[in-house]
Amino acid sequence: MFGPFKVQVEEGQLRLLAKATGDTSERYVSINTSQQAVRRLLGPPTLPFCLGMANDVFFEFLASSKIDATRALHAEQSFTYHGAIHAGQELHGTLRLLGSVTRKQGALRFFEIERVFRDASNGALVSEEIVTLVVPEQRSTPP
Amino acid sequence: MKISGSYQLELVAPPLSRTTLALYAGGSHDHNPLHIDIDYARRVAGQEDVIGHGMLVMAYLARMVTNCFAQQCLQRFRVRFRASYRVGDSLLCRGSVLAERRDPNGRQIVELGLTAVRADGSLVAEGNATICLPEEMQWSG
Repeated sequence: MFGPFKVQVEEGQLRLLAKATGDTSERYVSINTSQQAVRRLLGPPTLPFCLGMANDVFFEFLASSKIDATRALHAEQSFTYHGAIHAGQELHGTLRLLGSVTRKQGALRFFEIERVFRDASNGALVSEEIVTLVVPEQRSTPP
Repeated sequence: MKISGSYQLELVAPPLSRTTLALYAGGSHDHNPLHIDIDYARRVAGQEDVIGHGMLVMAYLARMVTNCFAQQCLQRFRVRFRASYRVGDSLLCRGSVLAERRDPNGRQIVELGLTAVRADGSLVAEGNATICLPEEMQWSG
């Protein structure tokens, strides 16, 4: 297991993410005053992935797992949600390489990576992800 | 709200621009130069041009879903990236109801099938989302 690593959910980051994806809906760009308990910006469904990329933690994990980040492409992504993420929240993440398989007669190698985020204040499970990366296998050169 | 087998979700994403890729790199913390630096894409990655973030496609699919359902209803969300998302690609995102069931607590669960295709109809990404309907949206039959 890699981590736990700490991630701070910043309001400015959420606003930039909303701007990038053209999301102008109230939920993601203004504070929801109808919910007195939560007067903080809500993170969108893909946010756990983005938080996992913060501070280059994911690239450090790839390097430590001997996965070539320069040749890796994102093949598949899944999220299972257990709780909302809001600006101001602090999360603890962990990463784990679940395994790898080759396909296309060994031309491609798929890596399955699990990432879990928990709320730093109470340890409550927030999200689980499977990140699947694909890397073309290096052709072994004859001696 | 009435949901039936023919119920369709739809969202059109504008042609992908380099500005959007730059903003998304910053907003998503994904600073992989493959998405923002054409020199890197050509020399190191062996691509003709930068490739759009797959997660940006997934963000558009997510927005299509949250335009119709409150985010807290979303239980699971999975996407397979089938082809590269390129500069200039506009995307038509679509969602439809694949299945409907009750969970052990009697709550209604809706399974959505999702696709994102280019203007020429070629597939960029596909996946599914599991929605647990809130009380006020439950229906019988």
